[in-house]
Amino acid sequence: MADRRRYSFYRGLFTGDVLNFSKRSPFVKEIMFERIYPSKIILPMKMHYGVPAVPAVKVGDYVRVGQCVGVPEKGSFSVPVHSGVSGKVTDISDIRLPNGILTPAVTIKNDMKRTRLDSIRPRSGFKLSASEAIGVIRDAGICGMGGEGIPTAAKLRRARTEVVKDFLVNCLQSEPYSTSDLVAITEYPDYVVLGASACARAVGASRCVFLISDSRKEQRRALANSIARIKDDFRDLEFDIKLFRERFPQGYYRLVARALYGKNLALGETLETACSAVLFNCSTMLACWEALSDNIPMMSRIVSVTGDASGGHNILVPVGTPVSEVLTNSQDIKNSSDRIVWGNCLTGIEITDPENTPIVKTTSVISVVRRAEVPRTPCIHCGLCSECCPMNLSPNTIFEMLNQGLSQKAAEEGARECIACGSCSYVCPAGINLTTAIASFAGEGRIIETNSLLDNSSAEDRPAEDITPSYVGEASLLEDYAKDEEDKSKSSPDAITLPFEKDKEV
Amino acid sequence: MMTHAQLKQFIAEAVILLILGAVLVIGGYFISQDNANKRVQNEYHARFDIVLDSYSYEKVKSKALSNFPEIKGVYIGYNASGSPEGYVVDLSVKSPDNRDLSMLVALDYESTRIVGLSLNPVTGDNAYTISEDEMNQIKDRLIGRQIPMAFITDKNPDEDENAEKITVGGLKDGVYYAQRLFDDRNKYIDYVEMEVENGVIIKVKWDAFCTDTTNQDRSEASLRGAYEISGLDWATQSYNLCHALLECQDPDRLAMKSDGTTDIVAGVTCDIRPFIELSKECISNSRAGYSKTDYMRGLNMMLFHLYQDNAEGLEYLNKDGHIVFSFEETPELYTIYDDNEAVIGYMGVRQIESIITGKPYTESEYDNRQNDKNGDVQIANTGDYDAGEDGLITSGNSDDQILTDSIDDLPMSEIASLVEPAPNAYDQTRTVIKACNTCYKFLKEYLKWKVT
Amino acid sequence: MIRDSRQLAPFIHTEKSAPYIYLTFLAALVPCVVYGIFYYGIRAAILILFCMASFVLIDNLCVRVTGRRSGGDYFDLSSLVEGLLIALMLPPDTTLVIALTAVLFASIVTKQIFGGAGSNIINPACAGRLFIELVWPSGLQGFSYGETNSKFSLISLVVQQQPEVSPSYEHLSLAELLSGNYPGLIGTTCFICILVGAIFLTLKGTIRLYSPISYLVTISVLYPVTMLIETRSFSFDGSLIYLLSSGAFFVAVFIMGDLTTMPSRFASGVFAGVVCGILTLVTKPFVSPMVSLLAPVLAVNFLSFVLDFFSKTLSRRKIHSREVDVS
Repeated sequence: MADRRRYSFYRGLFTGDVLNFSKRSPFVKEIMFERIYPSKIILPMKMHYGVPAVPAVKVGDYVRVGQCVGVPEKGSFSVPVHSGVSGKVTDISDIRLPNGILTPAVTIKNDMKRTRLDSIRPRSGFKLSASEAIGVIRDAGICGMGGEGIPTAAKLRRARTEVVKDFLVNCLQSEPYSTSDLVAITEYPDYVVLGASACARAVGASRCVFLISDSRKEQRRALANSIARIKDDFRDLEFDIKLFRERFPQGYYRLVARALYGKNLALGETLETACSAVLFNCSTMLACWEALSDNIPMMSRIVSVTGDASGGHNILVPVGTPVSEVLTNSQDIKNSSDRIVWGNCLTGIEITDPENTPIVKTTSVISVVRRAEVPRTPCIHCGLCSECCPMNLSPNTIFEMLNQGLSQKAAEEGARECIACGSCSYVCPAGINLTTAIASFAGEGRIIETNSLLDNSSAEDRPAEDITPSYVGEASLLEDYAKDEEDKSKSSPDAITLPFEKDKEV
Repeated sequence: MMTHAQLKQFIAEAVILLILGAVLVIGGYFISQDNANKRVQNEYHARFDIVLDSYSYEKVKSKALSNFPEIKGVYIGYNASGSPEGYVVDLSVKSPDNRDLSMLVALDYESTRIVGLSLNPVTGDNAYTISEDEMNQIKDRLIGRQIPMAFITDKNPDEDENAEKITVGGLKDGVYYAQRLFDDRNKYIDYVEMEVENGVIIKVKWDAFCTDTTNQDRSEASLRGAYEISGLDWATQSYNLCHALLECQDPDRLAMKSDGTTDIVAGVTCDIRPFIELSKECISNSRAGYSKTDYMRGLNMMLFHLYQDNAEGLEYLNKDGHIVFSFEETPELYTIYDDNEAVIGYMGVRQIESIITGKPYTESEYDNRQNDKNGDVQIANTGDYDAGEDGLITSGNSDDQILTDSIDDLPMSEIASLVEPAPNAYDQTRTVIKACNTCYKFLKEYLKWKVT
Repeated sequence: MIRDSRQLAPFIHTEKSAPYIYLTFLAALVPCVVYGIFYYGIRAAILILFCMASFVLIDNLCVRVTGRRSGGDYFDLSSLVEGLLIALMLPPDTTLVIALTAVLFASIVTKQIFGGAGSNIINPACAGRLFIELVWPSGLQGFSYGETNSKFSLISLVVQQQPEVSPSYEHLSLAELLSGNYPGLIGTTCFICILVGAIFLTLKGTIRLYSPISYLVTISVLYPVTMLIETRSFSFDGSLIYLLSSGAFFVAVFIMGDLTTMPSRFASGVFAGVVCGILTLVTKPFVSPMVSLLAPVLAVNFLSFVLDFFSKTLSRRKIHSREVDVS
């Protein structure tokens, strides 16, 4: 099943492994898996890509686990928000997320009783049509958990209309030190594979491909076992595991396209149109199968707490848990001088207010790093940045051009292609912050996906409220999503009645 | 810039690299040194084989070289067992018409006789050329002669009166030998070996072997540091002393003081009594024609007299053929007592042999000044020499030989050999002799000879 | 939310800072220094220290005079590396005056005029060494070795020794070639030491091997061809001897392995290495050995930026054209 070939986006010979963090992650001693119940949760209404949901509760209301507290506005590109704890709503106010988004948020005080909605129970012998399955996923409030935050239902629907062949499951978590996706695979490989299979059927793909790093042997085995178990139930699907080299940022869809299909996606091109493939994060697949089989909405997720000042934990937390509680519960000795990074060390955002900053649906990792002084010396023209740039740019040249005000030339050099992965700043021996300069320039020309890899540096340059589909550079994609978005009956997840129909045919 | 731990690790790595580098460099040096040496030796062999065929050569490093710009290099040739055989001097001298002659001169290690001459390949415009025939003639005349040299020439008959007589007369050609009959407190038995040619002592060797045969000979031991005396090492002193004897031909002129040392030979601070005694015995033997083989026979006879067996049977013979036996148990055999039973001297082997065999002991007929009363005592032996004169001259085969005046800044008194110029090649011979004399001057400075 | 003290990503940084890179170079040169001091004694040590010290001094003076940087917070280790490289490429019997000339030229003309550490287009060590080779060809012939080599003599540092004929290497055995036990420059003769340095740099990841490897391969492959033209005999022995004895290996590792002045991309790096190798072999019969080694490197240094630029543009164009084909 696993062919010998290793895919990657690099052509370099000798320094390509600079960004292989699996090799140099001394402080992820073990992948610990815990579950915590926070004293309160803060649920922002906008944790995804699109329009914020509207709070459906009032202050003083009692909510139960799994209850919908935010519903998408009619006709808007949005997903509902569910509570992961039971308790009283204490506050509904606007908060600003670290990535600059201003959104209403519902604060719920946990009564620690964990009273659940009755609807959260395994579906019995369910048979759903494709559109019904997508509806379930949409109602469960699932959005891309790898960081992009695009509502999964919209993406599935779009993939279906585009008639994709390959259904790619992104198990490449190459961000430094984060292992949350890998934990999802280790703990629930069947759920991931089943979710992927179901979604693949739903979009009409003929092949289900798992992309995984070749150094993650346990996860590979887990996936292979699961696939072997369920293969007979999905005879119409062809399963495959593609091995990738462990490199950051391998999981980015354009790099996947280049590695797997040898295609260089231009700005605005999508995997669906160019490669007739669709890429989903494995955690998203897990959430999808939970929604489909157990009727669990997306109310909790696995978060890695990691970094060189942290022990390396993976915690299942309710969405909306304040970062401070995550850190307390993971028993990390928090030095006041350590940085807390919302996201991974390379592309995340430093936060100073962990009490009021929640874990959102797209937060896969909280990094706690020591305040290390970056050496600052003049550029020595070593060319390491251009060697490691996944987009094949010359950051040092572009940086020089931008410094001299030659933005036109910089654009010709491809500065707008920058995905703000942070690799160049990471490797720069002179400690020049290339990423910030180039990504902010790139961000001027196009609006980058909220909370995606490139979000942090460009976030400041634009008002958060501006994020509507029409502003986004990859407009075609979003317009399609918006079109597909139908008027959905406003309902809480427990209101979904699931007719048992025959399985969807391709 | 860098954290402390990083820096520490870095220094550790640098130290590891330093050690690794040192190990590799030194290891590589010793591994490749063999090759390099072999190549150097091959190169030397290619150059020097025609003049001195030694097992290995070693270049001499000496401050004395800086005073001799014309000498390009001096090499010592060693035989397979590592003892020196001779010198090879690579030098270039000016010919009378001020051209350059580049050549190799090989000298015997013991006696500074010329053992080989060879011209270097001609290089440059200003090179002085000597044809092969001429060179062969020159070689015929020079090889085997002791340096420094001067011409025998009939051009200056008026300097005839400078001709000097040989200091010790009546020496018969051959190899002579004498050893002490008892060992010293270091268990060493001194011996002197002397070679006479044309009535002139041309080679003297003074060394000592140990009665404990596992020990090295004294010269070797002193070179290895096992035998230490004050001043220069014993081997050098011995060499200098032998050379001084070659210079003056007479042990008495080495001016031994009452404590057994000498002031005359520079660099010699050791007790030279054994040497003087033994060399006198050698000279006496030479006059009597009592060669080394006779001497050995005499020793054997003494052993037979005492133990009814020869040295071989008694296993007193060491690997060099010396009879390693101390007769200290039987002092009456060789000691001479006066009337008061006091020791006044020792007899030589020749004398003892004659006593044992009953043959009359005769001094050589030449030794006309021998005091018959003390005639038995070798120690009193004095040669025939002209005390007022110094300097040497060739064998007296030609009384009308004529010396040139001082040659190559060397006083005539130092000249050891007189040679005839090659016919029709006077200048050429002269140039080659100049080269040989330059070698002498260098060796004199290098070995710190002091010639009276 | 207060965000004034917020630092922008990334929050982690590679350990390979600029001083780290220079330090690895210094450490990698340690075996060569050991070699030089072991074989050539005190005068080699003095030359090395003198070159390093004077390079640092001149660099700092230039910076002070031009007022480019206040200094203090950042010690420019590149000066040390370049001074050391110059010293290692000198013959053991070089006078201090010549060494100083090389350092002056390297520091002022090739480094500070272009804007200091890192901004130099050409390799200062290479340029400085080439400069004295061209100005004082006779001053760089002091290969005293073997019997004439005294490890404690210092006279050659002050007084110009007799120029010696460049020794021939044909008769050397492999052990000698590998261990460097033959007359040559202070640091470039010992193959093993250079190899240790190269392995160290590779392990530390502070060397780009495209150019060095392609350079060495080019020379070893093409050398027999040039020999064929010159002497009508074909043999690979000559190329091995040339590689080991000429200092080509040193140049490949420490001059062409330099991050700053050599092309950074794979294609351009290999191209630069091949061009260097060919130029070296072509010029070898006509100029002195050091010139034929260093001049091509300088030429490629000038081109490295252009090479990089073109290799990048070409690769992008290729992908672009493929896209067009697909659509």
